[in-house]
Amino acid sequence: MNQTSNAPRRAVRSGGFRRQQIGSGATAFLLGSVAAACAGLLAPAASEAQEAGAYAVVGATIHTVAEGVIENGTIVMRDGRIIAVGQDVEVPPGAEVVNGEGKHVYPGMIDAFSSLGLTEIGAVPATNDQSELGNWNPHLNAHTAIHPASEHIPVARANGITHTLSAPGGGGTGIAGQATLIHLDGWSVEEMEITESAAMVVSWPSLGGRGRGRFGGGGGGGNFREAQRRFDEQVGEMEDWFEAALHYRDALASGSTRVTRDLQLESLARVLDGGMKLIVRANGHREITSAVEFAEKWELDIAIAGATGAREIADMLAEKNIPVILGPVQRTPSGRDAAYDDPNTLPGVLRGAGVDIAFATFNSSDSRTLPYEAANSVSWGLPRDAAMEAVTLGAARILGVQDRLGSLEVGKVGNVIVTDGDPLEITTRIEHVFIRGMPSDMDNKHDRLWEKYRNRPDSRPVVTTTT
Amino acid sequence: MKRLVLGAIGAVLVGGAAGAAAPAQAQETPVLITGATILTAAEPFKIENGAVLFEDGRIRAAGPADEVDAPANATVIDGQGMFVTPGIVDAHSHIASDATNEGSVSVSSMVSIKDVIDPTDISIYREAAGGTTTSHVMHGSANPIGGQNAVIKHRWGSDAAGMLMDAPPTIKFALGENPKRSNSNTIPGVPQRYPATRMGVMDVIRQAFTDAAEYRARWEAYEELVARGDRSAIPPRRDLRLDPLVGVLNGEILVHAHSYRADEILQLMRVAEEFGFRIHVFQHVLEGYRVADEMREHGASASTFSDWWAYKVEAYEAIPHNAAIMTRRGILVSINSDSSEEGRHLNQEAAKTMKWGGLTEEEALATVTINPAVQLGIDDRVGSLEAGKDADVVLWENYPLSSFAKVRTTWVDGEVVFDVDADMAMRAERETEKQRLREMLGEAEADEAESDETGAARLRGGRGPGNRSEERAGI
Amino acid sequence: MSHRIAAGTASRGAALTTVALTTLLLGSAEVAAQHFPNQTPAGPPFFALQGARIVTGSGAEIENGTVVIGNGLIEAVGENVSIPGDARVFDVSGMTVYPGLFDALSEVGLAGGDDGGPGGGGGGGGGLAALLAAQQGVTPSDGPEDRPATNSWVSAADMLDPEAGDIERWRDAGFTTAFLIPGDGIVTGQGAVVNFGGSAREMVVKAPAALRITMSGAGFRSYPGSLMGVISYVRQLYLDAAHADQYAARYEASPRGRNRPVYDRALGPVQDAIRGGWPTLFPADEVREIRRAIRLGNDTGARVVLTGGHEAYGLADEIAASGAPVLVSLAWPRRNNNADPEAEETLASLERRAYAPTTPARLEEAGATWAFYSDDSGGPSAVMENVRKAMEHGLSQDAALRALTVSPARIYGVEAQLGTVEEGKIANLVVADGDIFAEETTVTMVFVDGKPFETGEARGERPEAPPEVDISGSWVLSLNNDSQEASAELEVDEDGHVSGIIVGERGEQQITGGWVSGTEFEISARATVGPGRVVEAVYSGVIEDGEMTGSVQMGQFTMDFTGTRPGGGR
Repeated sequence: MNQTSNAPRRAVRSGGFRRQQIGSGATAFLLGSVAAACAGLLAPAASEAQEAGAYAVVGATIHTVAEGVIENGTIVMRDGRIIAVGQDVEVPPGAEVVNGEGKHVYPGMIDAFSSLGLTEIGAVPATNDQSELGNWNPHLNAHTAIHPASEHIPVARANGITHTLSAPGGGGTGIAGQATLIHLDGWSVEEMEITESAAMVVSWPSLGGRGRGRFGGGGGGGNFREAQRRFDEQVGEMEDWFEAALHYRDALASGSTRVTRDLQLESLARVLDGGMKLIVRANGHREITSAVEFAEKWELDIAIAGATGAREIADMLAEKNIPVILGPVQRTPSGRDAAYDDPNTLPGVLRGAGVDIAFATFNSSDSRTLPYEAANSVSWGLPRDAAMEAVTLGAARILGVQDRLGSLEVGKVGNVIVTDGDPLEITTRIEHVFIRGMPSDMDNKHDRLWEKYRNRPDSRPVVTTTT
Repeated sequence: MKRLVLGAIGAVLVGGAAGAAAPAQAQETPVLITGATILTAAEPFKIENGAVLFEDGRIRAAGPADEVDAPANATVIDGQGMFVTPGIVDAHSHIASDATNEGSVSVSSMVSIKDVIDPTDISIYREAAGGTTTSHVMHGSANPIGGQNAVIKHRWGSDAAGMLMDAPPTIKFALGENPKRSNSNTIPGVPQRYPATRMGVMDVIRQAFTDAAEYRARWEAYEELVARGDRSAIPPRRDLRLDPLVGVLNGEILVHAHSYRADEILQLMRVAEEFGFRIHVFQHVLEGYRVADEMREHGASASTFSDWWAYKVEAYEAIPHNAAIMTRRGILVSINSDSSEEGRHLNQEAAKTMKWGGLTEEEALATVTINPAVQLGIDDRVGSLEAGKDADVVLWENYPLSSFAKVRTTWVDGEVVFDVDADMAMRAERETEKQRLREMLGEAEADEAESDETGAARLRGGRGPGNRSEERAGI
Repeated sequence: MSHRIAAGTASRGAALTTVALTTLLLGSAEVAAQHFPNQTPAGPPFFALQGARIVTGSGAEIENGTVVIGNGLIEAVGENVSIPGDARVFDVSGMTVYPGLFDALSEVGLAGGDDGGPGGGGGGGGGLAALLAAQQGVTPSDGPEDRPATNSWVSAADMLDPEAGDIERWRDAGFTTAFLIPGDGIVTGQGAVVNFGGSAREMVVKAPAALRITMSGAGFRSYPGSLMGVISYVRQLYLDAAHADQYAARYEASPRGRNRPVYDRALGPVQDAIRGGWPTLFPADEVREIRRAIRLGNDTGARVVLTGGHEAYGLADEIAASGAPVLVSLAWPRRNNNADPEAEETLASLERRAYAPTTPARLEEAGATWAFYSDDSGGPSAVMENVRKAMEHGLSQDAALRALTVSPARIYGVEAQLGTVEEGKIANLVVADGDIFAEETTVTMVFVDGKPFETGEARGERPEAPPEVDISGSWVLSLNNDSQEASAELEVDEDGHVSGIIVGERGEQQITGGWVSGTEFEISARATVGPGRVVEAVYSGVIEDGEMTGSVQMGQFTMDFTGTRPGGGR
């Protein structure tokens, strides 16, 4: 199939339209009208429809995720959307066709929490933008730092990762900032953005305490009371921030003209008003429970990220409908007496209890390994379909974009991968990636270097100097 | 069969901590796994409906199921639908040791990981649960010339000496950012350590071998005097730092060099050639794909990661096709973990070489079995399923070169070190044992008093620390 | 019991009294030349204990016997012993006389804690402590040839502080003797067997008596930084010592044409230790440490004494076969009562706590040579409690007594002088009103070097007022204007003794002693401030309205602190 040049179609789509939307949305929000703000962000840009052509994958096994598997099926995308999926589907004239014989078609995968675009080389601070100074940064937004030319992005994309929540993080307990949901194909961040402020990321206080492990308990040293005191103090601080945001919002709503604009509280007020999900990074069940209670008190829409200790509270999470972004599964169990397969069995246990789950790498260069995080739960109780769902529709649901992403259904955005097998399997090759109904460039730094060096001419004999 | 397996492993685990533990147990009952697909990592590579027989800690036979007969007393395991591979060999690990770096000096060849093996590290067990049976426990990469390494078998439950494998000695070298301390903070009040450049790294190595060569000459001169009957000759001072370097010069100690960039790989080979020795294995060697021919000419092999990259500058040009390119250029390649996490699924890491660069199934499995065994000089004992080799065997519930792979049972020297059912049973047993100990300490919780009786009964039965090793052998 | 002894012999007067005693014992011209009238009465050094049950430690007990003491030595022991006319007779009928207790490893009485430098519990007077600290912390070592952490030239016998308050506390409990050795460095120095009484010079029974090697490295600062570095360092040290010996011999035989040996103050004592077969203490608590130490001894020729031994219970036969003596720490591993209640203790930790107290009985059964030492157990009463714990786990009373008397004497080569109640031995004796290991027993009198000491029971030096405030439980300590935080968990017994633990920014501090009286309190703790470096911290102050205010002295530093109850609002 032709790799259409990116340049012309991308060029059309930028411009002031969406920025205006955001600007007016923010104003609207200040007036208390959140719905207006969101509407602008959610609708696909009108200009897109004109540039994306028609594409079809014909005669493939189509894994819709939402509505089962279609053998020998055809999927058609036009103007960025899926317009047909099924066995008896007509390919529109002029569509570019991929012969799907022996191939499999899946929705593109979503890394539900990553630092893609925010970091390039771990050890080089100059390339790291995910972790700001200070602990209370609700006003910061990942999209202001996402580097669309990061070499990590095409590397992840070539393995079938089409979307990610690019999130600020690191640092200590507190509010890390707003995460941006992006797809992984665009010349600028504005082209990549799905939701600029997809979630507010919070690192919940930990009972592990400062200087990890010192107050952590167990048979060794440590003072739990001290850890508990710090924990309560930090939760109290979190409480203070939300109280201040509430006050700020109400003060503005009262029509007072004396209130000066506060960017931090303004951002938090959006969370209070349901304009943004709260993603809470927490691992222990007590920390998660504390976060859930907090969210109930403030009536916040939350998801838990990490959740390594969520096993004991699976039923509670299910009952209260709190989704969980899991990962990594490929981690060592914590504690000497922990079961060797504790990380592997957790996803199946949560899912079995009825918790909505997604997977995430919490990483950037490793984002391509997302499918293996899910796969490593499958032999330990997570049904294979559920694993696939978790990296597609499940993630879309948690991120609030299930109406557009995550499954192969008519009307959804054309995020499609064509493979020679199950994408959760390591040896499977991802052959085509469609993002927004258009083929993505599969080239990436690794393939380029591979091509170059596998073709290196045999080296000239070296004269060695032996003394 | 299950009961047998379970007993053995349960005893090991419950006693696992203070581990007064003796050397590893000898295999008592022959084991025959039959009906499984055998991936031998030797010739022939794949045997459908095959069988593996091991006895007295050694593999007796691996072949088609109808050609392998079991002794009457053998435990027979029906392996239908399952896979058998040799135990995985990890060429780069830092588990099971109480120290990793002697980072205070630029040349730390005087230290040895063998002195600080920690046989109680739970990673030994957890990696065995992922099929790993042998690990090269290495000194860290804080210095151009690091310490001496150790090769251990994952004989969970045995003592430090019981874990150490009688393998050719190896020593760690390190190039690039780590030894020049690019990514570490300076310590207040302590002068920055030389070297801080790749030039300096090479200089430290050249200087050390210059010293070693002179030291060797001094000893030779002394020995000559003694041989001539000079009784007043004074022996040179024994220098524990230079002794191993003389071993390297003499080809008795194998060099494993931590490396990233192509240029430093090349330069180290040239320095080694200057002093007449060889770099046996380049570790990490993430840019090996750029100088594969030169490495082959030098006679080096390579032990690399499957797909890690971009964590520091010298890893920014790393590609997952590295193993494949080097393999195609005629280099022996292994995939290693360098991590107690990755060491639990090296089979999956090996599978990535099939995806990235197209190694065959045989080649992929070899990167975590026979190839690292060759690199450690222990391929006569481990790394493949061949008669006469150690019975380090992994039974997989499904295809091992897969992200869905799961280990059923792992044997080291014919002894079960992990079994999925035994593990489940052991969890319950551990809880019972904990409860018994809490009772002994007078700290039992009131609502758990029902297990009182069992605890007391066991106490009466004389179950105390004194007979722990019998337990390990017996139950 | 004070009526039994003339008030003048109370130990606070010991420093002055001993001037006279020294003259008698040593006939020191130097002391005699500086005559100064006694400020406390010192009667003739002749005593007899009459009518006691005597546990000699060297054979059958004597039911109704007499011990005769003269000039610091035991002159006679038995049922029908005649008492010399010049002896002052103590009627101790109903009492039991034991050999003085011997703590096989201690730093009690080593100078440096109160008024010394930051070297604290082993520095040895400000100057030496400062010197050691300077060498260890600051001067990085390049390799085995630099030996800033080899303090083999430092001798405990030169660091004694007879005024150290702790001496009295231990002596009151029946401890007449200890093996003392500094704690700083990798080779920490030469230890001494010391009696708990008299002047610094009088205290020493044997010096040097042993070397001590710790296994603590200096991280990336200085060689050796890691455990494996320390092991290699020790190997090289022994090789170098042997080589230096060999070289010196050849050089002395024919110096011409040879370079002179390089002076190295660290090597001499190591050479002596190799030649003299000095006991050499290695940390060996866990199984793998025990095996490492034995192996290192085999490799270097050091005569290994295993120290710690909490996991020796499973290795008793192996240890006995190795011939290495074991000093068993009486600080049994304890449950962390401050731990996260949900963080379940590991099996390994439970096993250690459950089985460590079985170590003594197992070593005894296996025929190993072993002794007890106090370690960080928290003081003499905790030591006795922990001995009882070992007895609950099968240790016989005889064996327990040997482990605190004759066994340490044997390990340090002073069994001819100490450890039993026998004629000709040093008169270190304990008089108790019952079985010495029984909880209710009180030590009524102690003889050290034949000199009677009244016990604290009769003296009562701490403020006598009963506690008016409750110090027990949790505290959050804020130090130096909130620049540091620590937390404390305190327990108080009926007589106002404080025990427990303080957790500071740099780790745990084990409380070694303390009291509450009225609203005042004082708590002493041992703080580790660097690898192998321990400093005594003394917290003192008052409690008012449920809050502490006071100051803490750590070595030469003093900081103010306040203490509040945790959880008092966020």
